[in-house]
Amino acid sequence: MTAYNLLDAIGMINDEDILDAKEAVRTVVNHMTVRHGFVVRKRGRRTTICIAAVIAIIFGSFVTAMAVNEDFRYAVYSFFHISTPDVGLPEEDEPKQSNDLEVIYETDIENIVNVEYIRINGNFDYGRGLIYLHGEAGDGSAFYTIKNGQLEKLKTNETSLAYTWKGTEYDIKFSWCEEDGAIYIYSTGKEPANDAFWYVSPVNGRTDVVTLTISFGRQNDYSEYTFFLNLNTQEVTDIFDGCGVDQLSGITSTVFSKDMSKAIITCGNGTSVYYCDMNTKTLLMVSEFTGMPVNAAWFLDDNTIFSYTVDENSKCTCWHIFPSTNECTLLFTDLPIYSRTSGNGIIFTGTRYGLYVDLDKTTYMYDFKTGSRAIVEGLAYSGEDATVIMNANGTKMLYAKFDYTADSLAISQLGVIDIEKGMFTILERKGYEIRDEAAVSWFDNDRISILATNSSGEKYLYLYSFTS
Amino acid sequence: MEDNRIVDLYWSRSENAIAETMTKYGKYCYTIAYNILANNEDANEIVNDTYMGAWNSMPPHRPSVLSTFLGKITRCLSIDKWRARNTDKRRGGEIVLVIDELYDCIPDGNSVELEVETAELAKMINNFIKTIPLTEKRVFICRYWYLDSIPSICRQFGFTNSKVKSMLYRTRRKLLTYLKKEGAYLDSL
Repeated sequence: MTAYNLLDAIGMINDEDILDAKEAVRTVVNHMTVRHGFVVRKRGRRTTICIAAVIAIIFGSFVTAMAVNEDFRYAVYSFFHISTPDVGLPEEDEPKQSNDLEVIYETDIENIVNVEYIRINGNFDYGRGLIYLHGEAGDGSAFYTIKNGQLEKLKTNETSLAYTWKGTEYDIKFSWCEEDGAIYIYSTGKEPANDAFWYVSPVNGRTDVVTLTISFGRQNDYSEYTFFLNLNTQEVTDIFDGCGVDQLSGITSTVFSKDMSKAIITCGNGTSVYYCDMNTKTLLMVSEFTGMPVNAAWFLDDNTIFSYTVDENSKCTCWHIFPSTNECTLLFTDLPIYSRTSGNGIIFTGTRYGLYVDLDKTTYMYDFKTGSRAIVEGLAYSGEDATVIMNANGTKMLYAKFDYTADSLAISQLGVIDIEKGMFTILERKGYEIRDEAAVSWFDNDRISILATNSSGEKYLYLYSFTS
Repeated sequence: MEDNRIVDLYWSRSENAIAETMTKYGKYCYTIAYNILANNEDANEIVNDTYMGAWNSMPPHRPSVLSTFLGKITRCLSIDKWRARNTDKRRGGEIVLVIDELYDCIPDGNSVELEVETAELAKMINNFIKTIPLTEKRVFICRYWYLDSIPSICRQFGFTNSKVKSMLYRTRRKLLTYLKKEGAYLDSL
């Protein structure tokens, strides 16, 4: 037998597995667009993968002809290395199980990092500061909040409706709750009859409506469309009514401005990027502003778009676009996209900020709104064994370094770059091999979560709060 | 157009079948061919040969999943073409790296190879992938069925380069152990 025989035999893998491998990827890409939503975890690492993918998919880089603000050129994020390591709680020190969901351990490390362990018996999903615990056979499912080491059950609502669009009926059913003036949602997001995916996301500052995104088609035929869904009346309305968005094909991502009056719509995995102003019923290709095709665009604020294109040498040109005045300003040219091979370049996060790694590993935080940058002291980023993830409100960046000699994620260092305070704080971790660590992500805007499982299959959420 | 309608077109010997296939699965097939051959001209040629292969196969075949049916033709033709190249031209493409990686699944000098039919080996591999975690299975298939590059897999799954490499390495070692256990190799005395 030779490797060629193996290659031929692998060619005979069952159809459903071949399909599944790419379908799973498509799902990850789709979920990446739910930036402000309650990100649903279907499987162990999926959410983290989704969040990390937001970062990873748009790696970029950066060097010459930068219009960097001189005032910020020498700015520095100060560095604080916590001398006391975080040591994992040994399994034998765990209290006995008393509830399905309980805080079993809490500690402060040098009054800088607070660590909480939550042990969870049963299936659950989490995000945006809440845990959604699934009840038996769907009954008794509920949202929980965790504040000051206490778990609190929230009033959980159910919404279900059937919605038909272009001949396909979608059976929409989801749980939601209202907490501190915001809506939190849990939904499975799949129409079993025809494999049509859908998902529901909260709308910033609104408790009466959510967005409902439905998809149709598979693989190259995939497209999606987003509506408003009124939680009280269950009325579905077309956000893009009269804008011509329904004539676009292959929509893979729709990102709204904070005030929900504008959207960036990506078709065909980045081949066409559109800007839509729902108030003026305007739909334009972003390339009409820049004069050349763009690879991606996002809102820096309600009136400013950041966009870039990448050339054949993996260097990008970036612009500020002001649609209201039809202005477009060149921000950077020849900015290398970060690659693990070169170890140099810009890492876009889909937000106002990005991380730039210089050839000597000096790492900078870039502010795409002001065109400024600042050295992050103590950080020599390498994508080989670390990742960064921005929180939902774009104020903090998580840094996690992995121990690749271990089987699980094995996070050996955990850090936070606090953009508002200009500080990078890092915590060493020990005992990360006690339980298999499967995912790291922001739990909410201030707390980092690590999902872990012990050898008996019991699940844990470790929550880390950094008070730099 | 729905896949079963496209298959109907093949069965009714309508040339629209090719046009519809090209529209719906042209890019899909091209990606597989290009992953293997790393040459635009060759990949396009293989995609055209795939349409011809589909035309000649339907009827009698009526595939339940058209995409993988076409993908398998593309993959097979591309590997054949790569093999037919002169040794010094077998550069580029993921296949060189993939073949090299798959040698991890072949035992070193302490085992005796048995002649195992490809179909039998395929059955073992199908059983093997049922035993590994879902993500590992998907990454394995992306690498060794689609012959996606490591950076491409990293982008698709949001993993780091090292993560994908170590995951694939572990899977290959598991496959070697599995194949030994299933009798594809015998330990020599």
